[in-house]
Amino acid sequence: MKAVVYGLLSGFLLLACGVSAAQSIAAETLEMSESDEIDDEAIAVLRGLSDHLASLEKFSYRYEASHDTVQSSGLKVEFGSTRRVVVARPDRLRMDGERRDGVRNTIIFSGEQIYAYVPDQKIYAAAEQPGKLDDAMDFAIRELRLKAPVSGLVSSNFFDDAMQNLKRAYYLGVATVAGEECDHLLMSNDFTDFQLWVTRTPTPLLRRLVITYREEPGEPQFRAHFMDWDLDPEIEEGTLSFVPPDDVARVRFYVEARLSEETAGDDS
Amino acid sequence: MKSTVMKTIAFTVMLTTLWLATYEISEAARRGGGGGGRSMSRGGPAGGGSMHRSQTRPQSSSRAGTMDRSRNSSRSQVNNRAGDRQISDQTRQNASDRRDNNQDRIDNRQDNLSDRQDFRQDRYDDRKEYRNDRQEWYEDSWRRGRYITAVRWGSVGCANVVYVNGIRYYQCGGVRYEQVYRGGEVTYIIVN
Repeated sequence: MKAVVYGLLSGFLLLACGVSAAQSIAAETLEMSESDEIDDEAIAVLRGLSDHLASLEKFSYRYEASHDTVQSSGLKVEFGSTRRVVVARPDRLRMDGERRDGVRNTIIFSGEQIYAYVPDQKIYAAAEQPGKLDDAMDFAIRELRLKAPVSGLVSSNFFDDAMQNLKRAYYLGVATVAGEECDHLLMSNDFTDFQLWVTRTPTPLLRRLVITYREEPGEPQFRAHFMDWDLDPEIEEGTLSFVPPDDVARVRFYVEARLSEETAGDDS
Repeated sequence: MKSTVMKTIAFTVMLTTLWLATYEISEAARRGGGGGGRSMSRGGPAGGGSMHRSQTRPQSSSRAGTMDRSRNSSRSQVNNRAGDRQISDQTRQNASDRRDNNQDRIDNRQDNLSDRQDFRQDRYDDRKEYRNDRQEWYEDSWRRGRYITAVRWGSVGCANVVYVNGIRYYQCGGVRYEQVYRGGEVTYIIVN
């Protein structure tokens, strides 16, 4: 009789545990419902990364980037580059880039001037730097039209930047990228979907980023893999300043006006 | 007594094993990476890896054709039965069927007409979008005509340097170029 009771009890417990496990998995899946589009866990990971980067006085990293370019024919072509970035807060930065076709480019924020240097062409352009890193980067991208992908990483408000117009944020779980465990996030705003892989370390770092320009024809992507993070780099003298060599000529930053303005003769 | 103790120990061991198994499943689900996290489809056009456009055009025409054929077949059966001159319930039923079929035919024609209108509207929208894309492309081309990239500059073969107000220009064949830094690379813009 006792054996029967034990058997029934065991069966009941087995069923209860199975149901519990199933509910646990189902709960994870159900979080995808439209009523809950922002995962607190995803936001916490993003906040952790942003706060950590903002707390650093100086750091350096390297990244390998690629992006799709949709041709007028509809064909999609990938281009890529490698960049090394050195940041010294509050107002200095150096970004050395080399495209896959070999074209090199250096951007320097000296604290007083913004320099763009093309060593192979022996030219540089310079403009007065407005304020600290955040303002200077904003000016460089918006006004000088410099290309500085993932520039949000060097700003003090990467979190706010990523959260702007955010519609969805999902925590997708743990994924191993280049041998390192990372938290995998998927976020979406009005225009892009972006995925981040953030290292699961006490000092979280960005390991990979993929941006999909959802509203663009062909939905091109930008992809970047980050490596060689140094949170206390030795910055050699002259790295964050620029003295043009004798054989290097200064040229203007050229910014295109809109077509209608150009037609009207305003070509500044 | 001994038997009861043994059963109790066995029960406790089984309970612990089940709890551990449940924990492992939950933990795997939390970690993701194939074990859980958010459940996402890995499919879609890119996931399929096809180099061809997916065939998702409306199939209204072929669907309508199928319906027509089935209707003709039904009408044929009705006509055969109408050969019997005896007025019967079956004949009345056939007449009713014919009326229903006629109404179905009208409805189907309206559906087909509506489908065709939708399809034409889609095509019109596609063409409009295509024209807009082309317009943007022409505008971009127009812009491109006003500058020469560093890669193509060598083929221009212009090395005649002139200075105007301290600014260096290249002057060749009545065209004056200025070397500038534009969007991350060296470019030669036409300034006259």
